[in-house]
Amino acid sequence: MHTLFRPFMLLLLTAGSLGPAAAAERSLYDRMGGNATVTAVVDELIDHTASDPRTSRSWAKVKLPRVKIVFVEYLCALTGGPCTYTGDSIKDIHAGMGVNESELYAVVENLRDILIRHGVGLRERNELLALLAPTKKDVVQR
Amino acid sequence: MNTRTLLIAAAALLASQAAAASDVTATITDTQGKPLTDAVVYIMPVAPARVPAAKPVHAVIDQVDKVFVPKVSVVRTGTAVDFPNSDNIRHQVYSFSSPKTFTLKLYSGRPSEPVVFDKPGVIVLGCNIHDDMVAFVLAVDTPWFARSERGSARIASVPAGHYDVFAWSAGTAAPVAAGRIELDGSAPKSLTLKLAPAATAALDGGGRPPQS
Repeated sequence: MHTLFRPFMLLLLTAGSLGPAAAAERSLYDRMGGNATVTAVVDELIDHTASDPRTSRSWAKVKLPRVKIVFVEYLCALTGGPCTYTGDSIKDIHAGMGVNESELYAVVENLRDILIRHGVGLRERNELLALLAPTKKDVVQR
Repeated sequence: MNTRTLLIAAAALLASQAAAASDVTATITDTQGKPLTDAVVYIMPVAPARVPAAKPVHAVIDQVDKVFVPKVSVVRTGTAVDFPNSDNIRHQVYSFSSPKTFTLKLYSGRPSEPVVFDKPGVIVLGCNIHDDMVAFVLAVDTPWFARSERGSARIASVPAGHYDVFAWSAGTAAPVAAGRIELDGSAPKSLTLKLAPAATAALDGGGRPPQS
């Protein structure tokens, strides 16, 4: 009897560790849907931004596949995922492009729409935008 | 220019006249006879000991409006090439070509270390950030080379001797042997080179195939 119960005890213990307190500790990356969601969102965001007439100006001749790979790394690392960002600083990337505020807001708007389409919740969307907000000064350089 | 510099210049001029030299001019076309720009002709002495020691030289490949300038460079092996960035955005120059592999991050207003091309061969350059940016460096083990402009290339002041002629353009994978010439140190030499993509160049006008 005793040995038969053991697996159930373990299951109960495991379930116990996944209570509300533990769920709150899951990374934003995981809560957004992990690699599948981040990869899909980045893919759409970069394609959209490069073709949107409001933002396409900065993307002439730019190798989009590479941008996508590095941007996935960036978002993954930023949101607590298991990635190391290998790209340049946000400041170096945008140096000389003269990105203005309305261009940045157009990208943010695209990002918000795409996140919604991929089922990322309001709370996660807000957390992500809050993490991205400090980079504004490096994207819009005056 | 002061008197002393003038004297040195005059002495150098006399010396260069004393050391007999020929100019080699080449007309480089494709197989249809269309004059080629950015094709390269270079000559290698049959006796390698006749190549003078290399002095440190710098060449420049700039980035302008997301284009390499110039698109084709020919340099002597050992040449240090500077990669300035006239654009105000970043670039990332790379080569996967075996004579010289490298990656060079370029940022606006931040000078970078020059790249020394120390082995002969064709080096294809690209940019990690931008599509369509392509440039070629041909590194050669000789100081006697020239790049064509509308079909015309000129190698100045070559000492007398026997030389093997090679031609290359970005359309050909590797330089092609185009015969052997003899220079007498005074008379200029004219060559006509036809360069076919990924084929052999034919030499008209006094050349023989190199003996190997």
